[in-house]
Amino acid sequence: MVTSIVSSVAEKGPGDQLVEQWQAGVNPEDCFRRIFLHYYGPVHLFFVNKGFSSDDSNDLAQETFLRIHKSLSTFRGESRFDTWVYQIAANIFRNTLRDRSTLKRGAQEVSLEGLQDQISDASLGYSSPVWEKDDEGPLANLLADERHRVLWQALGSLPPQMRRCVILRIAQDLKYREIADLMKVSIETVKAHLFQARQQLKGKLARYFDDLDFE
Amino acid sequence: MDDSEKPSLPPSLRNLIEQERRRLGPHPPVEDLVAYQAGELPAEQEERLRDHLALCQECARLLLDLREFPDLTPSEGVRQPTPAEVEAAWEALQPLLKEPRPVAAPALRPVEPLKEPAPAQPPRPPERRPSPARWLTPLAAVFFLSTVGLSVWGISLQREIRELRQPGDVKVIDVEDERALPEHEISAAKGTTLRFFPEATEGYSRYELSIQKARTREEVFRGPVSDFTALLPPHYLAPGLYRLTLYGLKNGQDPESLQRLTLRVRPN
Repeated sequence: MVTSIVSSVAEKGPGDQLVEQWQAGVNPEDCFRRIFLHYYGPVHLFFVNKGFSSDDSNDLAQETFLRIHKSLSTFRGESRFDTWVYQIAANIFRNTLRDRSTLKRGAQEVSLEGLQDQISDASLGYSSPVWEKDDEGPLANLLADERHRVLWQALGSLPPQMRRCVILRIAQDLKYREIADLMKVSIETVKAHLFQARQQLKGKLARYFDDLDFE
Repeated sequence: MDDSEKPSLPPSLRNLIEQERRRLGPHPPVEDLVAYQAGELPAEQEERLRDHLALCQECARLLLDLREFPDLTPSEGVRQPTPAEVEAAWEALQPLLKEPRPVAAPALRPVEPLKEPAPAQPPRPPERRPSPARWLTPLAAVFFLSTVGLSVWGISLQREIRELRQPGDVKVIDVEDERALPEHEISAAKGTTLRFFPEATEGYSRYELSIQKARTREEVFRGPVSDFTALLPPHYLAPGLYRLTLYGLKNGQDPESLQRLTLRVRPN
């Protein structure tokens, strides 16, 4: 019990102490200013890293702090304050993306029909793979369809965690450390999964694909 | 199958995943990502989330950022704001905070009919009247109070009738708390009725409502408000965040801000 209390206290950051002071009414204006100064850089950087311009990031960071200020009295300390701040910024990011994509969809109404066709193609299964749809004739397309089906089957035959590691490594181009963090396993486990996946896929896909030695 | 025709596995797999992404369901809420990180999701939900993370770059990045926050690493070419820029951002935020420490949201107070503002009347010159007998004063007071009471009751009744007439898909927002900058969320697809209850209404000859985009401060609407009620038809505002301000106007003076609120318009 003592250990868990000590570790939970140790996990708290400077933000948590400032909030405690703010909630206790110890010079709240100054407390909030210090919270702002502590988190403005990371919040701003979060939005810039997501591809927003510096001006947009300023506005979004400002919106984040307005919301923090509004809800600070509801923070109960069940999670780290860092996490709580991040959650607010991430929700604002999501809402902004959603708003912008809605506006974009409205502006590109003409192309919706084409998009619908693409979605229908995708939902039919694997009959129209994207990467091989060249003008190489029906035989080439047939082979591509076959490869697509075989690849999907081979991937589906892997255990779930191994399959996810392969997808994150190849399709998302993530590092071992990042895959381990996302899947909440050790780096060694990720490496072992990728090694075994390579062996299994080699046996099933050697007839259809080159460069099976992904790392 | 001739070896020369074989495509490389990694790009083929990337293309396959790209197709699968189109079939991804909605993103899990940020709260679920946080709960997953904290190990607080039930096993089944955790498995579903892992499947989603494998396919969804956006959620995977959010979760990786969450692990790093607040020690994020700047992307290439990105610089951190300077202390002067942070200070400037603080200065810009100050007026928007208004209240240094918001208190817990007060319970909605019942509508107080006496606060229903009387329609602005043009000033009338005082009329000369013969001085009344002494007993007339209390009688006049009783009569006056009865009239006011009946009027207030009538206004209250009208309001109730208006409420009952509201179609089911029209949201009614009562803007009552002046101390904070309350935030309300509405759907762009539905109509909304905003009813203001400013504390001070004396001396204003008319009232105006201003609607600004929160980020750019661009004013998308400014117009008179009658009966302290503003009707927003469906799809009147594009999805986004807006600041609404009710102004009171006195002759020859600058408009005075009486009430403000933040309105988040959802797409659906």
